[in-house]
Amino acid sequence: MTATSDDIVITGVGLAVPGLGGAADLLGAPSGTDGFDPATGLTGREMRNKDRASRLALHCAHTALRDAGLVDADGYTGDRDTTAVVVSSNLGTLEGLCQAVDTIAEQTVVGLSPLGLPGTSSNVVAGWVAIRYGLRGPNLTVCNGATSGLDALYWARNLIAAGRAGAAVVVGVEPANEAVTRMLGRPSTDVAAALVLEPARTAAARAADGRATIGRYARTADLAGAVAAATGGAEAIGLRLTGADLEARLGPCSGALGVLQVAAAAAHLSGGGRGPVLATTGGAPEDDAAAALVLTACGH
Amino acid sequence: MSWDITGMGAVANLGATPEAVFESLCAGQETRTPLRAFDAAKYRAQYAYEIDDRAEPGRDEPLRASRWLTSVVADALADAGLGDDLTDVPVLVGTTMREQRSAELWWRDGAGIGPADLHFGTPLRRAFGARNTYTFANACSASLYALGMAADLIETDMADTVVVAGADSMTESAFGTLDKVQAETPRALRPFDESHLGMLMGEGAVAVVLQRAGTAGRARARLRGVGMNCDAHHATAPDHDGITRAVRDAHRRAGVRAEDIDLVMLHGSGTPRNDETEAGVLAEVFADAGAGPLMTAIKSMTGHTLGGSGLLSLVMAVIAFEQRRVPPVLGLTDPIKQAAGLRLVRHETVAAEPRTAQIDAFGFGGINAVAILEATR
Amino acid sequence: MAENLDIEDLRAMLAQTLELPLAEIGDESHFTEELEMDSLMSLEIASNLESRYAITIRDTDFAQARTLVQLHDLVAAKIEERSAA
Repeated sequence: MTATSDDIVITGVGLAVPGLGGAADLLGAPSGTDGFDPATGLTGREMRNKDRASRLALHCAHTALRDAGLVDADGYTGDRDTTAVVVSSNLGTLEGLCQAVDTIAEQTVVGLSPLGLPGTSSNVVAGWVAIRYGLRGPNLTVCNGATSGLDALYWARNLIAAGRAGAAVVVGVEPANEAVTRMLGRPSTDVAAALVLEPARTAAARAADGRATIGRYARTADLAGAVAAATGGAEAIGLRLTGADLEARLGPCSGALGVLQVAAAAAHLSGGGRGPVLATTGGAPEDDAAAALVLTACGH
Repeated sequence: MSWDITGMGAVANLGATPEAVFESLCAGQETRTPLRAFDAAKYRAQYAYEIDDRAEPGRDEPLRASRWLTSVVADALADAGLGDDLTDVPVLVGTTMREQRSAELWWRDGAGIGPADLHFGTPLRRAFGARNTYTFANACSASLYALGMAADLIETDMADTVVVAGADSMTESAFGTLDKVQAETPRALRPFDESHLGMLMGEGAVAVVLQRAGTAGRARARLRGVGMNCDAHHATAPDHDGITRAVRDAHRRAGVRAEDIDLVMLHGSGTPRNDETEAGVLAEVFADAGAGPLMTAIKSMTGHTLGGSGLLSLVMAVIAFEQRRVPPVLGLTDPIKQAAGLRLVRHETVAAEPRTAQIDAFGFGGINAVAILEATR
Repeated sequence: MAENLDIEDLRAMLAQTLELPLAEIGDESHFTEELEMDSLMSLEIASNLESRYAITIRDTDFAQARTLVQLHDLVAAKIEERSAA
């Protein structure tokens, strides 16, 4: 496909998944050499006093911005006033609120930590990412159930298409902890992925590689409907990512799933894999909807 | 471009319709009540602005915010003359807490909820068949952020009609942590008054139907534009520069000048930091705008209704247009010095004929949204 | 009692709260400029000191203490006040 002037492309990808290195590790067996280790990867000044979801997000956001060529020693090199942050997370703040409830019951509010204040609001992760890189554009947190990750990509694209943002950092993140395990009914893993989105012409102007182009999206009642609406029934699909493989390997990924899938799609397409890629989420009996997003290779 | 507001619904401590809430605001009575949602012995703060609709007094229930949301969306649809089938209508909900109060009751008392109950798509699908639903957890600017993105959907031809809403019930974790960090404990929310000690939470839900101009017969008001941004400065404190940019961006998008604004619905959360920062910004923005707009702050009587608070202020502005009167900031007897030059409505409701209103909403994470609204009367 | 106050205890508490190596908490390291302490971290530290030493520290008091040595002096003074009361 040829890039058109309105295309919005992915120019950076970063992961924070224990044991995994780059996004290509999502597609097959991880290379295993430089995989992410939370014990060492979530420390440092910029991480301190933050909840685990924020730390995971900061880690993968940095990798994605570096991958996009948008950070140097002085920080973010893009336009801070027009760069958006869009975060998807359903369970990132769950553990903090459960702990607060327990603390209040045992010690009254006197026992609470002031450092927990940002985490009482569900947008804590997006706030910290914006502060870390000075990103003053729209700042959005999508907590939308099973489809949340793909929904976040859709809204990041909308913010750019509407002229509200010139670029967007999109993060999907879910931390693993006891409260999350109890809510999901099975153990999970720390998972986070970040993507940098820009208009194709902005990427071309700074000679940045587009890894994939964001295509059509739909959120509707069931998977079949979402797929039909996103593909228009016309195009042959080169790869379909249902999330089942990823969740079989990593456990439930909830709000991070869609972003992880798109990271995998970008790795597939930029590695010469056949497109388009169709990513789907949701559609299980307990979900309120299903979403589908098409990604295509970037034309030059 | 502008957008029509064709239907409205709201519920808060003061009433279960927009008109009832507005009437109570105009009455200017103290409305906060002793804390009932939680065990008051565990908190320093002893008051809140709750919706007292629990089946058993003192025993909290899950999914109250979802219940209110469903109710106000139905009311807004009826007001707009639309049926309650939202199969093909996007619904954008702004919230600070989502259904995290239900998660607290699940964790502590074993309330029967699951992951799908944490966001609002689940009740919206059940009640209205809605599938194209989004829960935006954008702190206390959430519902105006949602309004701006709804306007974008219409402007970019992705929809002609969008339902925009906000909903929050108080959580123990947020009420308690705020209680812990506020240096002194407020007994009431007193925005812009020297006696202000901080924020006290309220509860509520609000919805509007936003339509492409001319789609429907009757517009109750016209949205002219929404500005949104992020301070990227502090996790919980407001920032003068960030708020200034959001206000000026809203004016630019709406194609209005400062002197065109004749009513400001303030964020006015009653924390010294918010009030000083917001008043300071507005003093600068309206410095050359003659007498300047009338200003009021509904949180003095609704408490801080969190994610929905911005849209609730907007709905109250629509009724102020319609009824030609503006309710006071309750308890404002001794304005802070930063507000000295501002025309804050005090003591009682004033008669006025505002035509253009600015609505402020600022949230944790330094996220700001400002909407500009125009009367259609 | 003032005897219980040890500057090394304060240093360790700061290091733990700020998640910094002990060696980075110098006697004269500036809280905001060098240690990048924000207002929530300040509240956390004040809250910890209040419960550990049974004292009351107002925001305005804490804003006066900008280094470990100054913080030590502040806590010592507050303990004196408490003992005198």
